[in-house]
Amino acid sequence: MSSRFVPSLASLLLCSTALADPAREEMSYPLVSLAMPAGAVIEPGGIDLLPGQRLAVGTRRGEVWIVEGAYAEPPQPKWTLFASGLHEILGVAAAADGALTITHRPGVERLRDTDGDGRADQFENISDGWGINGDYHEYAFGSRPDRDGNIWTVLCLTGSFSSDVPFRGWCLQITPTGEIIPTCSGVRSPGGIGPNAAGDMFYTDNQGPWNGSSSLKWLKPGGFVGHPDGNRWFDLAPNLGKAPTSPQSNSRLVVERERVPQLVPPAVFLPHGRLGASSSGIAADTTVGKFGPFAGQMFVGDQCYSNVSRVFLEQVNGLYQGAAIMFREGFKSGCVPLRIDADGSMFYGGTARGWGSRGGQEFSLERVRWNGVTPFEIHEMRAKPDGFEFTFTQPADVKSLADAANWSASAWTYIYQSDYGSPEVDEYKPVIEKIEVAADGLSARVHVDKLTKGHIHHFTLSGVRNPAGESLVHDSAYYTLNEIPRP
Amino acid sequence: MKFAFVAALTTAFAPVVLAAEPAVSIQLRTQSGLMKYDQSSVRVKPGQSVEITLQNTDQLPHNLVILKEEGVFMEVAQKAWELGEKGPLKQWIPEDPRVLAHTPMIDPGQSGKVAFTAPDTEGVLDFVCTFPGHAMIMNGRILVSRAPAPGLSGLTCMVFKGAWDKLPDFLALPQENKVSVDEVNDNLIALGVTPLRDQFGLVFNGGLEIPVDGEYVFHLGSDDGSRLVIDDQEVIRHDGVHPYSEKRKKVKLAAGLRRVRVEYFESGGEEALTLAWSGPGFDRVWLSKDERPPGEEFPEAILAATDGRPVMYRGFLSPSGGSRRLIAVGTPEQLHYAFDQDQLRLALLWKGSFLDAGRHWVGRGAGDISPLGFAVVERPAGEEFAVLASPDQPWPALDPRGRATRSRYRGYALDAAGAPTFRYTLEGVEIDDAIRPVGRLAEASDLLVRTLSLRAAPAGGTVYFRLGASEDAAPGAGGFWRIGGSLQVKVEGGAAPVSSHGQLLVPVTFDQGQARLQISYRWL
Repeated sequence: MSSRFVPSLASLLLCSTALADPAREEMSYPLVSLAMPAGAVIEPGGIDLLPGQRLAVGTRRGEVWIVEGAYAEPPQPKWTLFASGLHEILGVAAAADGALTITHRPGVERLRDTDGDGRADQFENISDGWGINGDYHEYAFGSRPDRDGNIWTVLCLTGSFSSDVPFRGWCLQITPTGEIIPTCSGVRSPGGIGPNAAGDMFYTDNQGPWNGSSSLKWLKPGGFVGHPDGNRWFDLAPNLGKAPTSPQSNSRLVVERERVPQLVPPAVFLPHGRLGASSSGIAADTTVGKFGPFAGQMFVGDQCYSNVSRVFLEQVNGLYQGAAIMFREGFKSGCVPLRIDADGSMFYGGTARGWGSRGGQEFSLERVRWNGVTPFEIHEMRAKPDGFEFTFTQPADVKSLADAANWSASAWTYIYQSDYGSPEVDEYKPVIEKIEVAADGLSARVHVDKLTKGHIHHFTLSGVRNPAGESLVHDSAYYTLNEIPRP
Repeated sequence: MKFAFVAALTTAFAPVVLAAEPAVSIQLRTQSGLMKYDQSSVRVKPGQSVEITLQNTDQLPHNLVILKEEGVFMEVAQKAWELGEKGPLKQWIPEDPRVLAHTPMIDPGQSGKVAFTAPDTEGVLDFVCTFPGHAMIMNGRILVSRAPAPGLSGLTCMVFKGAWDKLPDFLALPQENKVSVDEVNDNLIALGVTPLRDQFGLVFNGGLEIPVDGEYVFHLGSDDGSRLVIDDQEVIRHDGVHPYSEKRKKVKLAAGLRRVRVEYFESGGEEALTLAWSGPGFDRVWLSKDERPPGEEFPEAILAATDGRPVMYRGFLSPSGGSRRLIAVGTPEQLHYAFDQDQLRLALLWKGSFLDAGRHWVGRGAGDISPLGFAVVERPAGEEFAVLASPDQPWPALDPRGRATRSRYRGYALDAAGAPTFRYTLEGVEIDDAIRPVGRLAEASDLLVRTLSLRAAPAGGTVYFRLGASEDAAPGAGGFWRIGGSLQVKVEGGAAPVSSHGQLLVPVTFDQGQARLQISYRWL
């Protein structure tokens, strides 16, 4: 038995690098590209699912394509143009009656094919009530309808720095009849929007002013999510009362939360340079197991790094927080839309234009599907008053789990400032004082000497093995500790 | 001949042992929204002290890393990306012996400098932005070379006088058009060869030494028309009367001396002529005395109606009358228009080519595009319909952001041929607005005919349609009013137009809650 735990040279090398091994990801989550029509430039900005295993793909060039055969094994995609002449589509939502609601730069529109020829012939304006001044950065991302039928939109700042026209830097809900409900201020430069499994709405924001790192943020109605420039439009949002006090620059989120009660900190940071550099599409796993062992968790794409991270969320003292863990790398272009179907297929739209991405291809549509092989992964990471509880997708070897030498921890936060981004600051190494391991090897309770509110707590489980002697597919987890649970 | 002699002298006296070259300062800029440096190649001399200032006009942070070799920028950038969380602290500079010098990360709107000494030997160096994901596009070359930048030789210029709106066949012109033939001593194309400023033409002839077989890009800029001919093959034609603009073309050329001819004419007004070329190891070497900062260059993406169906485009368009939501419609008849979703009006009419979306489909797509064709008519800003108690009432103003205050945009429907009918509402009145070509470009009569169908008369007041400003007291032949100097407009339906505050207003008459206007627009 003990020989199993002598790591081979190869696994030592593997552990010595923080990089994941896409070959191991591929063993559970194979990745395929969906070929596009020759010569077509299809830069996905929004994806939704249609009956009959078809997809609707909205693009940055303002087209909507219908894709058949995307689920076939191997995929046999057939592309049909449904609509064109729209303006940088960053949200597609299919309704039961066949209508497609798209969010593009000028507004939210409902597209219908009333004569059944397979092409949209009605383009109904639902709302065009936000300002655009012609700046390319004024992107508008739109969700699918929430339980009330509302489309949630997040509107990028002008040039990503200022709010020059109404509602730049806001989240607006658009009701089915076109009413605008101002919902949150403080948005900077979104990359995607979508609900978690419980139906609360989230979006991703990108590293920049007032954002030390890219992150996943909760759109708590009435909340202020960090960038103050859009607060000048509170007179247009009487439902939200007075504008929040402006935060002070060169501070910390935990400090400014005391001064600005509306400030809702990011639920989870996707630490810059570690998990990515430009968070984008969001998809919740509501497949109840069809997408593998992560039911109820969220997935977040990264445009720059061309990857997808996994996010476990919990609520503590009224705020969302949780852990981000790498999920899948090796995509061919930078992620913008991300969508998971109930059958366990994840669709990933890639575009590099104007922003660069590691994938190397200018654009792509890719699919990841769980093949039934459970990967050895951290399943959940929950905050406790004096540490964290980890669970695993498979039993870990109890001895390796209990050995503190197999674990390491560090913690840091970011400067909350008007300057661009932030280094990692206030760093320290929490000391692991005790590890309680469940007899079945499925969980471990870790006690540390010090937790810090507002810090990212990073645990690396590089020495943990399963009984087969394998390391975790991804051994690093980054927990954003907005609140420390009470004992 | 004279030039060849000078060149020989220069070669003879070229120092064999390198004397200290004077230091050189190079200005480099990141291009907003394009993830590119504004120059892909710069030239320095061996052993020269070089200072490069990078001005970051993009919205993302960037750096500038000078490498000691060519062709290694991706490898070094990959090493930078692997710094992971340590990247930001290290300015994304990897520990790599191939790094010669670098700026720190430069935030948007800031600038930074890097100073280094060029290697003592001739060669090529890479430069690159090592921020993750940028290197594929954000890279370039530094050519370390003793040779002067390649240029023209034996340049002569023929001067002609004459009034043209297109390039004439200069060589076939009669004697009375010919003014002079001169050698151009500095071998730079320039308008200064003649004191003429209007109604003249120039033909430059010279030699151009192509250093190696390869692809070369020529940039020809002019006001008015010009063309570039290499070895009797036309490379660029930039003809016609137009303001200064640049055309470029990539050509494959074999090494050796080529014969270059540049023809140019100026009709009236401002005048300019520029020529630059880029090739393996050099970028934008000017062959003209006048140097103009390169305009942003985009690959063409011409939009046109296909299969008899109109094409629609909603990217940012100018002129826009302050609106940011124009819906451009390109018709197979090549009579195009833009409907204004912000102000509920017909905003633009033009003929010929529709649009080039190239600017919007490269990089982040910053900026506006403009009608590609001709006879562009810009209609005045403001809502076209209003409900007024009397025609003397002031026309409703737009809101401070240039958007309609009375009308609301509802969308459009496409007919079986793909042509849109726009729908909007005005204080309870529903309006359908269908604009269709009648005839087509190059036919004797080309029109855009607009059918406006209104439903539900307003509770009080009269609906007026604003036709535009006209100095006519009555319509002319065929019932057309001259509007704004560039259009003729005819109205059918509604009551007789009334003049108010310098505008012709058409009172809309409802019959059983329905009304209909037909407006015909004809270019003057």
